[in-house]
Amino acid sequence: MTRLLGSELHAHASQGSTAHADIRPTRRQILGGAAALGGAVAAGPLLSRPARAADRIPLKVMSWEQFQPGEKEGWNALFQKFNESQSKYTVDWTGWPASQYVSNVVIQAQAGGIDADVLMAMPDLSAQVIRKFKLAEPLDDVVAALGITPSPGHEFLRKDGKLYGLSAIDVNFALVYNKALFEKAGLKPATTPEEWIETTAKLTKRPDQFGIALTNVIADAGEWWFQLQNFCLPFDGKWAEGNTPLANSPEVVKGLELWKSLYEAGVPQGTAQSAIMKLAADGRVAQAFGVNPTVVVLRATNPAIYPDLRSAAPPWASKRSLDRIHPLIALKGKNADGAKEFIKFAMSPDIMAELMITNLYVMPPYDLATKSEKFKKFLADKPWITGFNEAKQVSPIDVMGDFAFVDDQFGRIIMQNFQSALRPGGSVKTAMDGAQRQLEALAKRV
Amino acid sequence: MALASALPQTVARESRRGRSMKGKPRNGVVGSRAFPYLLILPMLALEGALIVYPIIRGALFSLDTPDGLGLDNYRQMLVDPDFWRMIRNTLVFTLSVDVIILTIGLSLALLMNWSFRGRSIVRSLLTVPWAIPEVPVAITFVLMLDPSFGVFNAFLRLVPGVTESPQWLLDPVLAMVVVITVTVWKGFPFYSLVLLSALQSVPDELYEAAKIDGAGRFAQFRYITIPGIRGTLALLAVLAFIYSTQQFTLIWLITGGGPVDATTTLAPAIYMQAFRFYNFSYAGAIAVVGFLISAVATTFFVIVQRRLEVRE
Repeated sequence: MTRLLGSELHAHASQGSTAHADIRPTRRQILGGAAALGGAVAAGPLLSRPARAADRIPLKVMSWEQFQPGEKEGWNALFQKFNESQSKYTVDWTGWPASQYVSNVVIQAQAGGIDADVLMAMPDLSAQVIRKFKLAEPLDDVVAALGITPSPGHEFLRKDGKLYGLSAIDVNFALVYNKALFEKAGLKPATTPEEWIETTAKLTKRPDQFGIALTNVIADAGEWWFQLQNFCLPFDGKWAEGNTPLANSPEVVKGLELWKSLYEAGVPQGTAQSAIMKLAADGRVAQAFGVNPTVVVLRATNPAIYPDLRSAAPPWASKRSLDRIHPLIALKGKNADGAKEFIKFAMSPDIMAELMITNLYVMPPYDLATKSEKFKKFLADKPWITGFNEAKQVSPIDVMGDFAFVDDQFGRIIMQNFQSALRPGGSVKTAMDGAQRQLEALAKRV
Repeated sequence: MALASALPQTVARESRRGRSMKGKPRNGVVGSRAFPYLLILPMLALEGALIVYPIIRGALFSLDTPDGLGLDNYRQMLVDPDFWRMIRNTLVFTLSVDVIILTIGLSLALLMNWSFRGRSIVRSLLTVPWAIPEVPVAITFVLMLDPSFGVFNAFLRLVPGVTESPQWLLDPVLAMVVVITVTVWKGFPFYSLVLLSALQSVPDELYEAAKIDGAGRFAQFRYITIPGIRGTLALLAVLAFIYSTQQFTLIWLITGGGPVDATTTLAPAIYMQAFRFYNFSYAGAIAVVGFLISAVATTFFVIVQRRLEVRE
């Protein structure tokens, strides 16, 4: 268009110079030409921009993070950087809030495919997508290209020697405690189950102060099972091996008896999880068995409590606790290469460090502190992460056997039966015998 | 009165003859016998697509098994102790809510029917529980029932002799009592207000005549009030049954169906099977049973009401 306008002016100029030397462009012609030139300049980017966008391949990232206050901003910034860093792909969100996420993804997977290129998933959903639905692409070439060694918690994402996911969010369990309340009582965090019960009892002065926060009502079933799942670990047990449930194995029964002792020694019994968190934020709970975001939530509820928060390794010999990695998975399909390129971008040290700092994530997917000075500094002023780093990572998949695919149902059976053991005179062994029978019936259906 | 009753008959007669009220003969589609059916056809199509079809699809879904269509889900249901516990819980919950909500609704309606100062304010206040959404109601009750910090136990501990704090939501019997109570509290204003309007439609002349004949308060209630509102009561009984059978939010948020499945009724059971355990076809089978329970109960109420009308 600008070229056309130029030739017209040139033609006018030629005419003027030869045949009509005294003829000059009229005012109307000048204004018309200027308007056309201005229009062309203004329209240039408008016309070229859609053409560029249309050239790009759209990539869909399925997640729940776009609904998470305090986290979506970090992810949105990462998306924007990816879109600006190259001209082949454009990445955008798809998905649902966390509460509806798993069921919707499973429904799509059962129907034949997931309508996305990159999937962010909870551990049990990841296992299903990789092993049951076989919809994931290996990411070993991404790992090799970045020269990183994924954290030990990634083991459950391996199949036949190949890695199918890289951690986007990693939360693990440890003992979170209120340093001020411990110092006031002259106590230190426990290192054995026996000490743990004793310390909890000493720190409890009902109803003003509670020794420990443990979720204990079935209305908060998701949160309760999230915690309770760890209690097969104090005595090195598992909930299941393959499709054999181990609910009444001695190790699991002893683990749940430990939970019951803590419950009796210092838990706000029958109190909703939201109220327990409020008590903890108000400095009325001495310790909690929780994940690293617990600290972030407590700080958001009451910033004054933050300087007193510390963590210690799980108080049993192995120090093993559940580590829930929520990986990014490249899905099979025509955009699998683009999906891998996005994951590679997200995992690059500078980008990942920026995301973790913005979103207050402290468990990196690989040894990020050695690759990013910024992240190293970020961790340096977080004295509350010691216990989380000392905990030995175990994936929920490692302790759930084939029941990882029916994690919720398994947990519901355990909790419903375990509740009868919490009543006066209730026996954990009897309750778990009942759970074992129900789980064996479930195994047949699974 | 005579004119009013005669008019519809005239319209019907003229319509049967294919004539308009103005005396001009009707012709074509408008005058045909099929015309009323044509008028309701769009509504039938809409209800068929949005109500009947999903019900049929849901019922077919319940027959879905890994090996094709079959009755596996129903066989599993018959031997599943959780299913029978859920049915028992549903009946206990539903019948308790039905009886209590109608009793309280009727009692308050009778009170509100009396003339006293501030009656309009009391009537307005009566609607408050009905107006509050279920989620804040559930959260508020959970906090009030907290064993350590709840206001219920705080008051209870003031009672001489009470030393223990009841664990309202951890005891199976108390948990059921709580969900019934909260459901009744949330729902009774609707029943009260409907019954109040029914009470106001009973002619005062009947009470005056009964007084002259020497009838006491109870006799007036038994022989005038109850027959006068029987139709409304029967309808409300059906509505209360459906309201309590479908109750999900309050139960789920207050007890999560626990403890030990003690408050798992039909709606939470369907939700758990479908959206927590992904057993969609089994959830469909439970939903079919729920539909049948509702259909049987509704038919029962309708038959009882008709028999009472015939007897009168």
